Amino acid sequence: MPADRPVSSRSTASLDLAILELQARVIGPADIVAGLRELFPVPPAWTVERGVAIAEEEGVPVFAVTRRPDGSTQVQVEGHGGTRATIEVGMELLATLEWAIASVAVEVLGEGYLLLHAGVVARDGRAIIMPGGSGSGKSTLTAALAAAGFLLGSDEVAVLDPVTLEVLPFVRSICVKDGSRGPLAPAYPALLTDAPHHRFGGEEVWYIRPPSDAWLPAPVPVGAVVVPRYVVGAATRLEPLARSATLQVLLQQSFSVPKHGAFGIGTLTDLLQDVACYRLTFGSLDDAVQLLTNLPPA
Amino acid sequence: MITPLPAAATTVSSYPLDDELVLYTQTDGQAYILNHTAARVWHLLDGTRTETALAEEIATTYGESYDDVLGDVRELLGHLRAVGLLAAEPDAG
Repeated sequence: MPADRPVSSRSTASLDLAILELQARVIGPADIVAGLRELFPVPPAWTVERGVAIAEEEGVPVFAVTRRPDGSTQVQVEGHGGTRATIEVGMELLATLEWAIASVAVEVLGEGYLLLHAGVVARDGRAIIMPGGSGSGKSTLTAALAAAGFLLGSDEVAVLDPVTLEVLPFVRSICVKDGSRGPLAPAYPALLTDAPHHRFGGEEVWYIRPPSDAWLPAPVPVGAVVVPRYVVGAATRLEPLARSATLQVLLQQSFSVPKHGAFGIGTLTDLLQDVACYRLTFGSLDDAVQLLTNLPPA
Repeated sequence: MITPLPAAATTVSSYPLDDELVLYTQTDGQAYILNHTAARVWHLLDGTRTETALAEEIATTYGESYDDVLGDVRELLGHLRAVGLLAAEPDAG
């Protein structure tokens, strides 16, 4: 048998996933599908309902997983008129597959929403958007705020409805790196005992799968934009940030705003007219949570 | 001597944000942010004023030195021109 020919599995399973309007189906070996099921949170029902009509009309993307004799795995992403991508995932299957599904969701949802690389939490009916690149501490901060009673929108993708200027949840497990396990362990003790997943050439990551009642129960307006920056040993401080500087950060951390052109820029500018903007420099997670918990309402 | 009459390109969208101004043009897909004074200059770029007239108006408005303001206006217009935010400039002759 040629090495690149898929091996038929004795047991095949499927898993239906939903991230807002994106509905997707994963088909593959049962053990892989079971592992993926453990990675994806159960989304609140109201977010799933948004995508049903689209899925019925256009069909759903399918992630077809095949395992080769050498143990490596291939994922074909199919749907909307043919094969969209073929992904070689080697031995780092689950984390890479989870990332691939999220990437397709960003691509699809970005057609209708403004998507920002940002954590999102909410309290008292107002959301805090926390834009930042890798290493800014937004995932760790998001997880800590969720443990402190904030509702969860995402640790990674802020979904902004350009018509209502409200945010919606991007339901995906929170993904943290080794350095975050200690500070988050009091709230998430499994981080100290769970085995790591590997992605992107061996980077170790751990997943926190929030329960379905942890997520926003409905779209919420934005009360504040907080730009986080984790600095080892730094005194934790929250400082006002000019709206223009905040806009620049949002544009730097945009997944889909350029796709929307002038409308996207105008919408972000409108959003910022009525929200408080801050820069959060933090060396202590507890102090950062305390500051954001005491943030005055917009 | 040819004197330029700078004008804002009609393809540029502008959005006020506090006392600053956000400019966007589909040409390069970038957003540009002008501070308060630069925004004031932008609003005067209707193709009827020379650089020196712009500088005189800004210097009067803010009580600044004309010579200093002229340098700043020229620098700003140079930036705007370089990133394609100005229309092709007619000459005053």
